[in-house]
Amino acid sequence: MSPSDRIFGLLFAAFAHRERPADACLDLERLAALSEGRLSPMRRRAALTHLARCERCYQEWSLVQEAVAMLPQPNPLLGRIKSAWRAWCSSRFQRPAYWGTLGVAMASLLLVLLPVGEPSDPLWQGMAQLRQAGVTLDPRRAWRWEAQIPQWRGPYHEAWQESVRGKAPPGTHAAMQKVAFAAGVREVLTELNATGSQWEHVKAILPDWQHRPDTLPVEVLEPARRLGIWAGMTHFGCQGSPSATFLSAMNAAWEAAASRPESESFLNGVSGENWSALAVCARAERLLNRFLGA
Amino acid sequence: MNWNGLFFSDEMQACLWRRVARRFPDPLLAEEAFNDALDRLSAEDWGLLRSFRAESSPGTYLVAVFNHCLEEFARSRFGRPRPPAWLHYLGPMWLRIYQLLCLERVDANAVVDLLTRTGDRLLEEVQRAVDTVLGRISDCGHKVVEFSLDDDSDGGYEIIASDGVDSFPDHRLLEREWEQLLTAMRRMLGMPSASFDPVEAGRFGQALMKAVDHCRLTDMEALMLRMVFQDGLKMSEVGRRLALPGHQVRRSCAHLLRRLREAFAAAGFGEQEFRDFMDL
Repeated sequence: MSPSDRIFGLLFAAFAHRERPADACLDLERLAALSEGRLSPMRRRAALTHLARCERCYQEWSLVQEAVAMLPQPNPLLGRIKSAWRAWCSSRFQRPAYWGTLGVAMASLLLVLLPVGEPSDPLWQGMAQLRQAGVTLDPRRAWRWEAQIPQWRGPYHEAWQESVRGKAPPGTHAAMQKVAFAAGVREVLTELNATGSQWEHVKAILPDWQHRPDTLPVEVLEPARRLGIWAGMTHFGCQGSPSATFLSAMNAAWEAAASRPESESFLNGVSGENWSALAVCARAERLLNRFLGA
Repeated sequence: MNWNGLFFSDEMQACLWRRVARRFPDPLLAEEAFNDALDRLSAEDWGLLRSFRAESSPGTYLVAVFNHCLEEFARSRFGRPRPPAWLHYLGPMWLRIYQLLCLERVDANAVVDLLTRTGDRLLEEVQRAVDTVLGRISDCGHKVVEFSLDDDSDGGYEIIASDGVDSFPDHRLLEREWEQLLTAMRRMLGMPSASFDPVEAGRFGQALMKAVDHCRLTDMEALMLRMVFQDGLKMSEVGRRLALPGHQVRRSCAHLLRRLREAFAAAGFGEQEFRDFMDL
């Protein structure tokens, strides 16, 4: 790299981002999980976005990296294989579309062949439980499930379609929440099908909404998205046979989504000893319908 | 979670002591720091670790929190760094060097060792940065104020920057500060000192800000620039941390630099004018 390149890089790095991040700072555990490569792609991207804007978190992350490097590496070869795998996974979405099918096939093959651990995010753990319970999804069947929700064809569906086309949805708070909810449901579908997250898409189109007087910030939409994730997981969990671990993972997800009053009462209602998968399904479905119908 | 068992396991103890010894080369200070960190961690039945959500592995989380306690110890002992503005703009690696050299009076060789031992950074980059800080801040390490650990008042942690060194006022640099920044950059690149006219340096700064606005870097691009140029990380390490292949980082950086040059030219500083100005 030439001296002028280095001066250029330094100058632009110094002044590229001066605005403060919109979200809360990352705690040490999130930074540790990021250093270990244990975050889901969606969370990893959100964390890196924050680090780009927050000098304090970046410095903290550097220190964590320094400290973590001191930990003994049990098997360097395995470590290399894992990082290569993670690098491949994270860049697969940037490849041309026709690589998609091949990518999914190779990923499935590698998942069988390599001892790659699941990230410890409760949502991911839940999804891993689903896979272990034999809940495998045919993408066509999964997308058909979306169509089975009557309200999907209503304004909610239109809002999503508009947003996919890069236009702002015909904007009300409810429309935005529904899109965020859809992103959550789709995250479950896409994680199970290993095709990628939709939440990034929602965040990408948010700036298009910013000119609206009635716009909603990401933090307000987050509960709707979490609710969507939870609803999607519950739905697919019902088709298999959800284990106690899976249900507790759902609980963790639910707690994160508990800012809606009906969520909280629902949680209170199902956390007793007598809850069964069927009861959870039925109640979750009612809640889902109420949310979509709102 | 049995934090007590994990903390005192042989493997973890070896790891934590290695970390402390590297962070505080003075053995007495290292021992004091270790004990202080242990006190903080184990207080109220390992209360600091109670918020663990199993998002990371317990060992990594423990090391991260322990490391944080060490930094808290360093801050309480030596105060918070108040570097000059130009240094702040050079990035996190520089701030760390400033903290270690000027506040904690760590030996220059030990600083280089601390920042390069893991192989993440290029030795010569760190060495030059250390030389630049020592060369540009004449009283670096001369005015050390140690605080007692018993004095926990917030005000006691702040160290006022020494005379003749500006603290970091806001996000806009003055003409003289642009001049200081550019001079430091030249020195960092191992080039002989050249004086910049403060007014010209100010004009250069304005053109730069215009180019930055024009470029509109994404968050990931900005992060990559920071890691490569400000933090002095190797491309392979940047790739590892961002979970990207090294060649992709190299390609993205080259592409970014091309964009930056074009934006700078559009803002009134063509390649030749830039070279003349910097005396490259």
